[in-house]
Amino acid sequence: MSTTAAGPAASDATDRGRAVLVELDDVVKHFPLPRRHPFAPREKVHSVDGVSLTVHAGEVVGLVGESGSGKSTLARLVLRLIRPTAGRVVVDGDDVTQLDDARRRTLRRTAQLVFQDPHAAMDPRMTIGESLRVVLEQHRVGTGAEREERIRAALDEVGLDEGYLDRFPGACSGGQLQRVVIARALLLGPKLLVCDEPTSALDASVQAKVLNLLDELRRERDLTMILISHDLRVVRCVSDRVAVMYLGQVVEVADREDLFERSVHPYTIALLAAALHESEDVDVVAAGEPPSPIHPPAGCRFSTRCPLATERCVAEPPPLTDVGPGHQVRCHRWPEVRELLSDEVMSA
Amino acid sequence: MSLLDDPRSHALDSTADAITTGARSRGWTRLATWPWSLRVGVALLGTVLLVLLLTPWLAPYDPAAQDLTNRLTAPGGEHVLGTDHLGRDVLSRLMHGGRFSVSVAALTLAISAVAGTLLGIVCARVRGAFDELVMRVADVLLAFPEMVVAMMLVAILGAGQGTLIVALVIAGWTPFARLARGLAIEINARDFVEAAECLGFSRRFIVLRHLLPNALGPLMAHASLRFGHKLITVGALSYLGLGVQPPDSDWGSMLAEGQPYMTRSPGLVVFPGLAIFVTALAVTLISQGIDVRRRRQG
Amino acid sequence: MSDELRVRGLTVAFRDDRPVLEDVSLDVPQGEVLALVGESGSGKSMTAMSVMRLLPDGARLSAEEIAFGDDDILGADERRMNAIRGGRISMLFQQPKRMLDPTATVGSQVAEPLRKYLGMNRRQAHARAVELLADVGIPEPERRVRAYAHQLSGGIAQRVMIAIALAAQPELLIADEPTTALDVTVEAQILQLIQAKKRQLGMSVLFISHDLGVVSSIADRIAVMYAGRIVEEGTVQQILSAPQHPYTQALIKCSLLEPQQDGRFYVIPGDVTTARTMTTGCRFMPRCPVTHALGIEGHCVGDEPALTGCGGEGHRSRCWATIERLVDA
Repeated sequence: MSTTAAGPAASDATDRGRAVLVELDDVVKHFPLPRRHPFAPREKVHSVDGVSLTVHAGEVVGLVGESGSGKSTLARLVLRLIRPTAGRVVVDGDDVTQLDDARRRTLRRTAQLVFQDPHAAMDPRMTIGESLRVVLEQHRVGTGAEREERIRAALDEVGLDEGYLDRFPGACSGGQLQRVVIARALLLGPKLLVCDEPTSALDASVQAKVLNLLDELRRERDLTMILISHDLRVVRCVSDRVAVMYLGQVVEVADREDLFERSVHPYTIALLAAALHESEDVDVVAAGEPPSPIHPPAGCRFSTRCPLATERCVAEPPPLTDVGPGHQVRCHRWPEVRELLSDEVMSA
Repeated sequence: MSLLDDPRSHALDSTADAITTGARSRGWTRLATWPWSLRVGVALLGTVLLVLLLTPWLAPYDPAAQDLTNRLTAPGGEHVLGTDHLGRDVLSRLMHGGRFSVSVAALTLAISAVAGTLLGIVCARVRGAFDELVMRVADVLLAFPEMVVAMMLVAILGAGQGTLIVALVIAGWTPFARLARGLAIEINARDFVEAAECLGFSRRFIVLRHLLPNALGPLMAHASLRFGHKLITVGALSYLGLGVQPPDSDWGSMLAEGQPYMTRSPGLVVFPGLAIFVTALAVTLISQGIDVRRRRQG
Repeated sequence: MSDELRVRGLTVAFRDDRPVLEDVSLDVPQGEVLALVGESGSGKSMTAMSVMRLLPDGARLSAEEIAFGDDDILGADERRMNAIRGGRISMLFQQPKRMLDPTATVGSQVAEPLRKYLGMNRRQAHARAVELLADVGIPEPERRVRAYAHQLSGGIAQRVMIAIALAAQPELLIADEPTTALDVTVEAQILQLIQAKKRQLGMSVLFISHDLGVVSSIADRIAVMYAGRIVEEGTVQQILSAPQHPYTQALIKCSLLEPQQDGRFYVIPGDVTTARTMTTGCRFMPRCPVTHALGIEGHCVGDEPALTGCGGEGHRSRCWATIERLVDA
């Protein structure tokens, strides 16, 4: 594992003295499935199962996980696009768990979302200028002339000239469009930006550009960010803290350095190995597929794929345990994990 | 597989294609880019509509004027398409009748399309019991051929132009409701709708500015396909005596009236039939042309 | 029979627009993995489609040669191509769930090439399909064989696609970004599977990707594409340790995602769209840091360089700097 120099996010906002902007308290989200027949029991998808997370103002929290981990659902819970089945969601001091429409609209000005696929996130039938204008129109911000100014400034901020105003999304490249999506998200001046895989759909050279842009904007506007990605390299460079999710639960959360240098959950280690292409034989670290979120395992959810799983792991769900300052892990065997996996996985 | 996508575009890099194959022009004005089906369709329909529009000035005779000395004449001479069993000029009756046929078909299509679409969108938005109810009613209606439903309704409401329209609308809204609902559900699931919700747009706005424009393509294509069908249905109902009443004509009633004299004057049946065929064909060609063009542009 | 894919001088254009692919030549010897690396718009997918003769309407293809072993693909008629596709050359796509027929069971889709190319009857094909599913590592294959595409996860779906692609034991597999839409751990498994199958069947692989990291673990040789041309080619070692072309160098820097001195990530200046409007000169020139550093703008603007050897065996780069260095040396 390489020792990385402090990345662009070596922000001074990691001091926990700053206010808490987002608090998730044991949040649960189950999606009911249609019954197979009227007398069948009602089954649910356990998308998010008891996640607690705190995000301080100015922080960048990386949320890592694969499909089915619940990370995207979590993002939408924070933004209150969906309602939690249980638990509390507090954003900027307001308990947004139960919100009426009017207050939800105000929330829109505090927290915004950047999507994975920029082409899907823009209405293909509206020009970029129109897409930006309607945001201000719908929130009745400023006069007509003022709105034009603001959208021009917004495009300028992300490095696009006003020629883009008349273009349709189909005529723009992924990188350009993603910058528009970011500009659009920032139009209402939010404090929190949730980025759901913002660079996954982009080419390598463009990824760097967009990440640089996000970092720059974060600094200029003192944004708080929740950065969701399955790519650990992205998260490594940009986050202050990282939380790893698996099948609806947080399995490890730590400050950036701790997670990358001293992680103790087998799944985190598997992700690191796979993402950094350091392991020849991934079966050693994470065999097979994740179990179904409709019937999650009774014990540790990673036990079905974990090379270190014991009977206890299969039977008893591990709690989130403190491992160090700001470092928690959900694993029965965490003290031995690094040692046991070192032969197969850790390269100098 | 989406109702909206062309699956081929996923095998290739669509971004690259957009840049590569040139900017997607939305301009309709470049006639050279129109596929042949579109050109022929527009030309045909344009001609038909023009003639029908100018009928009051173009029709050579009064369509109701009888001339019992000149019955069942062959086409040619004074009466370009001949006369029917009452000596009335076929061409004039065709033209005036066409106005009725085409306008009723277009009107019922428009009303059922709009009503059906709105209902479909509401169903998609609201879901739950209302959605179930509407869809089940639609299922029941769809079990019967449109004609049978229309016949039943006309029998209840009585014959005549007004009831004909009502009957056809009631019989014809279901496919639009279904299609609109399917499209709405699909579009609602798309990221940009979620983005709109996330950005705090009102529901009304989302439906009007995001949903409808994006659903319009397939809906219009479906509507134009239905037009031919409507035209024929109107004709059929008139043929059965359930539509226009004498002495007014429409293409279907002309078919009915001309039938006993088919062997002596085949034109009485051929010309109205041809009129229906050509008009329906024109609209279908246009719909096909639009679809071809849409697919070509990605 | 030497089962080698040979492409020479492939050029593809749409209507009257600029060519999308220009003078692309490549070889995939039997049993080797050639990776075609490039970003959106580089033409890599188009190259694969050209080999399979599956270009969209309106595309015009011209080439000196496209041949696989004794088969002349360039001149083949549609009937011969149908026999080649799936029989001798097979293809894997991105987004496997989308590429499977949503209305047919997994089993029937795996059986299709068996019945078509190996002439099996329904029962034989079904039995073999179950075997093939097990072979690609799908648990409970007898049950899965009756599943439909939407019931599968991305990883399983891609395994099914691999089973279908390899059912008739093709000699060449063209994999177009097969792991791009998959999770990281699943991606690693799929790459392993492809490698294992390659060894087992002795087939060649043309692997298309935008991800240098993925490619490094599976490829023998790499060809880097930019704006419809191959700009550098060589063994994995040569390309990754000693890249010669400025674009390759920049791409590697970007892929590493390692912050630089100023804390920011390295970004290739400019945009790939600048290449669209150029008619002469090196297409990468507007974004190239080397051309100014070496003062060779004159060359780069005027003529497009040819692929030239740059040191290692089989290592070639399309760059005036390379040619200059040879001249100096």
